[in-house]
Amino acid sequence: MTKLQERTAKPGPADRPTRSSPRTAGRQWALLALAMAALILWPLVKLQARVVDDLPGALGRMVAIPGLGRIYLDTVIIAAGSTAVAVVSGTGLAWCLTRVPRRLYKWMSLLPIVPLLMPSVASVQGWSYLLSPRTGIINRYLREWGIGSGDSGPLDVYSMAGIILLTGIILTSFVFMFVSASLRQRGAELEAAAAACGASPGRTFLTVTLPMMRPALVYSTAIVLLLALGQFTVPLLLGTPDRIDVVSTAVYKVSADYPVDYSVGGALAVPLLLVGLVVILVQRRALRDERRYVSVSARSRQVGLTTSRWALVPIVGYLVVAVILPLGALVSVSLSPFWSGRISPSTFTLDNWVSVWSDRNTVGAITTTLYALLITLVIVLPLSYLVSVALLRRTRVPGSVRLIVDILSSIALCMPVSLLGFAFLFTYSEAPFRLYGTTAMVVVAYVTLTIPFAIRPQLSALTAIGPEYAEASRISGAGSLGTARRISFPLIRSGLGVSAALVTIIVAHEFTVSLMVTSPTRRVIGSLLYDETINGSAPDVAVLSLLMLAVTLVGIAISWVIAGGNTVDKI
Amino acid sequence: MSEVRIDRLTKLFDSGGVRAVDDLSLNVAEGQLVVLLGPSGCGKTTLLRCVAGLETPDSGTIEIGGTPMFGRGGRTQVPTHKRGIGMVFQNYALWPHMTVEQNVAYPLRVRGTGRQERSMQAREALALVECEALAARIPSAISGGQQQRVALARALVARPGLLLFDEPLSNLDYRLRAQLRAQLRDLHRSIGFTGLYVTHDQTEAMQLGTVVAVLKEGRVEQLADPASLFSRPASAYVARFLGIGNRLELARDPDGSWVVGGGDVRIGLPAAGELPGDRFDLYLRSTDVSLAVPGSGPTDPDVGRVPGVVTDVVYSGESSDWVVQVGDARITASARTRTWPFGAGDRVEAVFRHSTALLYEHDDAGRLVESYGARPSLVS
Amino acid sequence: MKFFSRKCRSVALAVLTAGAMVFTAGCGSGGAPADAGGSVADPGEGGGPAWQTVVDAANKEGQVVLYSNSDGVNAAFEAAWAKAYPGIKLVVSKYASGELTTKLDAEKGGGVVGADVITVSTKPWLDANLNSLVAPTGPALGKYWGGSRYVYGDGRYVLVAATPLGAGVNTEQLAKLGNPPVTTYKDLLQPQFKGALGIVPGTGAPAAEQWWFYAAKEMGGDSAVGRLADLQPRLYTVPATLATDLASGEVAVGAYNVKGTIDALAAKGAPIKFVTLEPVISTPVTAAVVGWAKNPNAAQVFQNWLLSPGGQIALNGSGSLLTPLELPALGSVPSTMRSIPTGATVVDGVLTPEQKTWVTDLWKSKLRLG
Repeated sequence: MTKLQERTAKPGPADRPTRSSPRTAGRQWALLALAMAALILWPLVKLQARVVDDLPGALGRMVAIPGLGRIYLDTVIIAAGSTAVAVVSGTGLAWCLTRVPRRLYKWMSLLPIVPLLMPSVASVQGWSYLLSPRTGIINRYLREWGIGSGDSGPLDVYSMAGIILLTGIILTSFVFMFVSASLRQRGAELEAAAAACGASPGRTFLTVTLPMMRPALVYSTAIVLLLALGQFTVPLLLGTPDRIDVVSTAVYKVSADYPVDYSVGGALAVPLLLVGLVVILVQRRALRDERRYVSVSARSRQVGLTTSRWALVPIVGYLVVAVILPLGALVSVSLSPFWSGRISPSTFTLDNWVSVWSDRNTVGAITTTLYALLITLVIVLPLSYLVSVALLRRTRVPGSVRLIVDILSSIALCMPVSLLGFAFLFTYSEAPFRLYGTTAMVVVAYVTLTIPFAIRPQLSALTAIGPEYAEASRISGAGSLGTARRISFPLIRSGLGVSAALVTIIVAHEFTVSLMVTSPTRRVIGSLLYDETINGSAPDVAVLSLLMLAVTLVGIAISWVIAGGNTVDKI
Repeated sequence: MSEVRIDRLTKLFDSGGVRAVDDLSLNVAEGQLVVLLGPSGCGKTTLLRCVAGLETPDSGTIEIGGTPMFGRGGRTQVPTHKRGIGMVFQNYALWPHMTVEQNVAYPLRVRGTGRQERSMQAREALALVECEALAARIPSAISGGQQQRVALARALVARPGLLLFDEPLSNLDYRLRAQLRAQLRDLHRSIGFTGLYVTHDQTEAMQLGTVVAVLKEGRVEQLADPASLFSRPASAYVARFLGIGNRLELARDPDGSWVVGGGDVRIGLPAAGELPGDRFDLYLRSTDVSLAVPGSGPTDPDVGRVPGVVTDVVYSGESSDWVVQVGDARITASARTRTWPFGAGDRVEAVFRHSTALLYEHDDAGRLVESYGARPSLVS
Repeated sequence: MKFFSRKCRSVALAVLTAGAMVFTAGCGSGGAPADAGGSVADPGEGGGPAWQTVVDAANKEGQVVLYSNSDGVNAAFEAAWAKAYPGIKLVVSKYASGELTTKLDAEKGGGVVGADVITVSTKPWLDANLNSLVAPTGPALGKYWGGSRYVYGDGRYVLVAATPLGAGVNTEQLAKLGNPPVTTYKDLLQPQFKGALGIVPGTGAPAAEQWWFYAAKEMGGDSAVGRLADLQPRLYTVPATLATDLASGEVAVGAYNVKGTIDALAAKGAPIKFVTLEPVISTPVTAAVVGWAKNPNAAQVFQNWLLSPGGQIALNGSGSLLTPLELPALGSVPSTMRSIPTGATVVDGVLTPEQKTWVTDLWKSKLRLG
């Protein structure tokens, strides 16, 4: 049965196991905050110090950038548009999932997450083959069927609408993941209760389901908004023909100029940083009372919701749009001698695969990526576990430390990754670090990038299991480490698995920062792919995109092991 | 050596706005099971969690078995896992990823007991709660009552000096609760553990406690053995909490008699001396009230009579409740079904003995008025 | 269940091992096309024992890291090097010029690894960092480059090739448009190319902007920029993506393009060809040894080779790039090889004030470039 925990039902102060005096625990947690600050804040401080040093000059040069207002406007339009697309479709998919027939549930619950495995470079490339105005395969068919006329159109992926839709589609999985998890946790009993009170399904959705999803919605909207604000790949690859620039591509262009005007690059990103901080603070405020939503679900998940096969249509449709179509295009291009604008299986050849394989950089990059991924996981998972524990309201972490940890852990989200890459480069290639050219440098960058994503699943899992399990262990005589190892870790194992999966996806797909922090002798798959988009042919890019997907799958297999595979279902 | 000494303990919440535990002192002697009784919000759970080390008090001291666990303004602070205690949680808190036996063996495992030894002891503990057959199951596959018994076995297995119970039975249904109560009582008799037991159920408190502490707003309102607690609740708060529900407000009339409930009913109050005030509350157990035809009974200085009208008869199987309107008060008389022939609308007289009634001052503290009543049985 | 049971661990290992095996199996096949077309001249000729010491030390170092912006550094080039110096592994890293200089600036501070030799097109960076560059110590500079106007800063950096940029056309698409001629810069402005023209505006790369500066002059002066903008050309960031879209027919004509890239696609059957626009305007490929080289001797050996006939043929022999040297001085060379024509423009990546004004006021504003 689903029941709200006792502290929910009885809000009396005496029954509330909340924070208590900070005296003892404070110091250790402050250390954690300090470590996080060193890792995340230091590069940014160094970079922003450059900006401040040269503030008037930087502002002057920044204002002189032609179309500056347009850049910010486009950034906002793309962020708002794609966030709206992602939130609506992600929530819709999550809701559809609750309505699919039971025996298909397991499979259907996985489908909307599959697009996370697609590198965004791959989807963008795939869709550009499908929807280029003249040669796009879909456009050709549409014109043949009499939709649109002339040589071009009717659809164009290289446009504002194209960028917004594609970004939205890429981000939909994130929203789905968080919202669906919250729907699952809640169980169906609360909806059944509303129905018993006479509420229609629509009304139930509005008055019970939606408010219960609020924390997940707020959280995922904030995350997706931040991701969309810092979105780089899609505008970079699709924005050029229509002259669409966003802050991160503008920063990138500044950084690819000589001499690099770091102050301007840093200054350009400041509004984004501020907006990011505001988003995080608003999100914190909105979720302040998240304990109200803690509910423990047990056996009655199946309480009579009407299911329908129609619920499958959006879920499968999303998979087709986000994965199958672009992947199909990509595979056929990788097999073609060159991208000819049409798929002709008679010309298919494995030459591109052979030539990419035979490049020793490829194997080296894949090895380095996997190695860096493993080390990143080894560092990020325990670190993000500690941070999650610190963020839990019920633990004895002083409020100020918690706030700092919280903001630090999300700050990497507020920065355009292109700028973050430079911040890393300058901080860690100089004394005393001198990490340039080592895998350590790559790992440090990845740890910073992935921490915000690694925290949330563990935090949710910890919130969901409540404090009693850990307390019971301490009562039984186990110390903090023993409790973490024997009780908390196994209980949030699925959360750890999700964390590991997210870290994998980010690391394997990352290419902006990788480009900056990798050296020629220590490349990762992302930097290799970037080089290939600059220098190589379309088939080679396709091959590397597919290899990136393969690397992701290896990482997901690792996460699967961490999550304990199916055993999670038992819990 | 397992007695607990709690001295002047204070625990604040919400930055000092709420005193969850307020300058509270309490001792638990070895072998005693002290029940902390009170409504939600009275601080009983917080007190228990302070003893367990799950909350950090703001001031005061806690000793377990003569060893300071908390004191010197927080400079002495033994972490939970080193306090040598066992605890049973309201929602069982059995780890879902372990089997029943692994759950029970856990305290031994973290103490470094060998595999075979701990398996044996775990099974012994399970046998104690009659759950040895469940050893290989996982917690979610057994019933709530079984889960709580397993949780009890887990708390007992390492033979801790002190056992803590946080409303362990309140998630169980009525029958199971009675069954487990009896089992706990037997266990306490046979093993003789020292314990602190938090509950808001007075039946549980009466049946299990060697001593019952009724808590009110972070302080001990009354500390007594169950029998004296029930016969002489020290305050109206305690009386109400023990389920003594019939209350008649009394005001002194200039002529020396007492006006009941602002109406025109008057009664006399026998007392050992002058009553210390003009307004009191008279509490009557419903089983101590009987009904009679108005004016039919003999006069007796120990018997009080108030006229009223039966408004309802609540049939509950073996027994029934007669609800009588007396002035603006409503009192209930309970007896075996069909004890009295009255039905709704009948005029009756509610009859009670002053020796069984309780008189409290009509103020916030609501202290018991000791001088009231002839109390022949207790005085002599 | 433990956090990481023994079984889980072995599964993880198995997954990793299997993955690694797939990867290594994949790289066993194939191999670079090894047509070196080499030179008979010994790059070390005239070096004497001092140079031989450097070569020996270089062989001991065993590798040389090259950061390059040039399309001439391809598989054939690497094969030619491997043939000449089998003991020294050439590690190539390709970057666009702007990124290259950013990376070099970061490397100057020190680090674990970095470039030994570079080829870039950004002259301002080279001039600003002249003191961080090391002049060649090998014999080739003196032997072949004496008096060349392409040697700068006492040899600290040398123009080793010029990249002639031209147009690319998709012959199928061109036929659909009625086969208009594309041979001159002016031809790019024909009205039927509206919507079918792709350009690399070269924003951020001064050398590329200079190319357009000169190309615009050939198109008919400042008004040509306006007419170009009216054709609503599709923009590309690098020639490689423009070439891809030429091959697919997304655009019919594109400029600028690199001959090597177009030829490679044409060789695979793409209906495209490179058009040399006259007069030829080239961008520079400038080579230098950096002072922070981790393999200083191998760097010298590589730079010396690049300046010798062997390196020049490897880089420029196909004719995609132009050699700054006179062909007769190089001995026997492939028939495809060409020198930079007399009077041809090789841009240097240093915008003059006039060019700067042109870029900001005309080029960027007309084409609405950020």
